[in-house]
Amino acid sequence: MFTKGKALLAMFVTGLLLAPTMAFAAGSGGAPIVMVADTRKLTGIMAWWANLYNESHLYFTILTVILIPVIGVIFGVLADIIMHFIGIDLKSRDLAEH
Amino acid sequence: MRNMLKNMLLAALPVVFLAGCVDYGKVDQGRTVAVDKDKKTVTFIRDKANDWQKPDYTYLPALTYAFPTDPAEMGEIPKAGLRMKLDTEKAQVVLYDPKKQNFETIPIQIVDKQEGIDGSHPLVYDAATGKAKQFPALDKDKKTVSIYSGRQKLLVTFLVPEQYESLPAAAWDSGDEVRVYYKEDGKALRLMNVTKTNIFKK
Repeated sequence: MFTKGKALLAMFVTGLLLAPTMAFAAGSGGAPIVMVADTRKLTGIMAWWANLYNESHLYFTILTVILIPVIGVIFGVLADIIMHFIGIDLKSRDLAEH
Repeated sequence: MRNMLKNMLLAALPVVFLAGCVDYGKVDQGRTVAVDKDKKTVTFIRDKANDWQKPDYTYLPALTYAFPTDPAEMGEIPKAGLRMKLDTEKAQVVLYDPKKQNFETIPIQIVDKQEGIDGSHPLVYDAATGKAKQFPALDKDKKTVSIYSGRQKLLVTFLVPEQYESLPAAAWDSGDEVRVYYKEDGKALRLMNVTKTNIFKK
């Protein structure tokens, strides 16, 4: 019973891993989608960000992956500060009933 | 919490520095007037306005870029066309003349003008075959040219001066909009066919 379950799980995981390959194979082919970010009117951080995309998709991906949790933590800390400011205390709790 | 944030920012710092040190290229965009598949070059008229809603294809000379050396950096090969502008208010069409390497403004006599025609309208789309009708269309008997502009949602049929009647339908067509990323003039590092790229298409 346990072996059967393991085999089923292995089949499911293999199918999941192969799903993108099957999707690619099912496609009609043709030219790949190539994107160039339009930086002609951009300045400052927006221009830098779009230029980074044009220069290297890898750098862009790495930076995005790192920045998403950093921004998440910054927003979390800000929310914490605001809640503390308006009187919501999440750091300690008093149980009403025992 | 503060330590975690500090560690994350420290982790991001080298990548930010690395990205800041990269020598970035430039972006150019315009309407294709010639494609040489043997020499692997594309020639286009730069959009001076930098506005896709109201482009201004008046920059001369035409710019030629070599295809990217990496095939993965090249989208669909653009279609060339010579029509730069269709102005129904002034009743004129501006064509690019590759021999003169200049623009030519042609006065036209409008026979029919249909506005607000989107891509699925029966006048431009054949539902039975599921295919868009072919434009520009020449009617040799009536000596008219019919042009459909998807951007302007306009279907126009007009008469042209006698000396232009022999021009093929392709001459009245507009080329694909292309966008290139480059560092060295004339050498595209990446080429996007803006007209044919639909990121929402499944």
